[in-house]
Amino acid sequence: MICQSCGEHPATTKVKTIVNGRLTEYALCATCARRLGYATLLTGLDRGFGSVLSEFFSDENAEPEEECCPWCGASFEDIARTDKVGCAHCYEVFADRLLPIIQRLYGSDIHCGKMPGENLPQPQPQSQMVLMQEVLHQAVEQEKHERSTRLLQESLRRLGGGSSNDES
Amino acid sequence: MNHKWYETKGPENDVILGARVCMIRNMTDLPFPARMSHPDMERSRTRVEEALRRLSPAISDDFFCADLEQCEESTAVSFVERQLCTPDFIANPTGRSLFYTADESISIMVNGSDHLRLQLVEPGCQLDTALNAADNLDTMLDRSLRFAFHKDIGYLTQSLTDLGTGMVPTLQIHLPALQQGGAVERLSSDAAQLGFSLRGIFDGAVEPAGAVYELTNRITLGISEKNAVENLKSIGAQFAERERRARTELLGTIEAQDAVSRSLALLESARMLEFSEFLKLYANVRMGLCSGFITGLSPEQLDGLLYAVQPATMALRAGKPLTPQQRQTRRAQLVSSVLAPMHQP
Repeated sequence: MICQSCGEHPATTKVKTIVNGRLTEYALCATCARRLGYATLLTGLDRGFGSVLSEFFSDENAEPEEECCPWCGASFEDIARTDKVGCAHCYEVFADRLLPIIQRLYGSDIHCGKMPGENLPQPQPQSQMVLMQEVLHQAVEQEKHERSTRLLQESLRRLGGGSSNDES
Repeated sequence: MNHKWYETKGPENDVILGARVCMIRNMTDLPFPARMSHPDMERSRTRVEEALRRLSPAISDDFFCADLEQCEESTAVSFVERQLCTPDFIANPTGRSLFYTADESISIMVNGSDHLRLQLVEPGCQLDTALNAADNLDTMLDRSLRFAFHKDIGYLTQSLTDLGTGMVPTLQIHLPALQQGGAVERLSSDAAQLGFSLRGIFDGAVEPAGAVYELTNRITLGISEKNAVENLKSIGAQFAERERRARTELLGTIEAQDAVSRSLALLESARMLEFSEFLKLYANVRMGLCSGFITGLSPEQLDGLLYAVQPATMALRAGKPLTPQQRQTRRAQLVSSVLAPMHQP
């Protein structure tokens, strides 16, 4: 299926939205999903986290017996195929396979937030903040540059005797 | 009568309409929703109901409960229009329930993508207030529901993308000047690099209308709730500042001033109004109002209209299905009645 936003690339993500009082579904390519704010950590991976998985376990395809979570019955195949973990116990049962994927997706596998029954912990400096400051700095610099270019162009146009053609 | 959160004035609401904190939680002894049987879903819903009842009466008495299987389509769509739940939540109503308060500032989706999705919204840029309220409700509910948690990877969720804090903070922002200047797409890709998303609320998957966007921090693991909120506040403040500068520049032109005046005149005098047309006019009038070009109306009055004139919400309030013509006529009447006091001495 072709992306319903750009009409060019193959669609990889389905998104639901309300249009004029009706629930509507759109199919988007990874680029449009990102542009329109529908990207998740899994967007762009052809087969969800199954594709991250194959990088880690490419030589384990021949595993004959399929282990299932004794609690909910989900196999690791089920989880990878649907991008949905079966139950809270699956995280223990499949820890050896899920943790590397979690680490890969987030660049971290350590929770540093709220613990049940306790108040929120104090803030600590985090990597997202550092990255954010860099990108914001670049954006501000780019805007400054664009503004000065625009001012320069306007000055040049005025100096050139008003050859502007947009007076309609 | 209860005022809705969006009819209430909040700080910095010239650009920031609202702040929402969502907490995604699951119970340990039930499969996640994709593998739940109907009795499992019933068990989960009953537990949430009982947990809410155990809270202080002041809180629990305030909740309405809607069983999505029993809801008509327009009612379910209206929940999404009023942002009490997500479009995905109503797509498959089986076993799903929605709890929400009269002022629509708190809602709890049960058996959606996870067992519970608590949402708290505050008007304006009050993210900290929303976080504290969500944190309190979460702690109180955890006493009876015992949410699934792992000491290393945090709150356990059906999707790996919500793991960790299970907390997703969002700012609802109005960016008409940046949208007209074509800057939103670049902001959106800058935001995406950092783990944020910028998404149009109305017709977001096609062509964002009304210039109302949601800016969300999607990172849930390796970062604390407070840091995630601080980061969102910081990037939200940058966006708001750029929008204010863009408004000043744009409204310095006679063309933009003309568009604002014409939009107001149309809203005041139209006898029929399509929702898509309302959204375009809303964006211009709200910008004019917040920049002082229009007086006699508050942004929250206009935002109240934005929620009230959505198609399914109009049908719900009318108590019957409406033809497109009836809807457009009622919408125009409602809009002009709210705008009428602007010209009274």
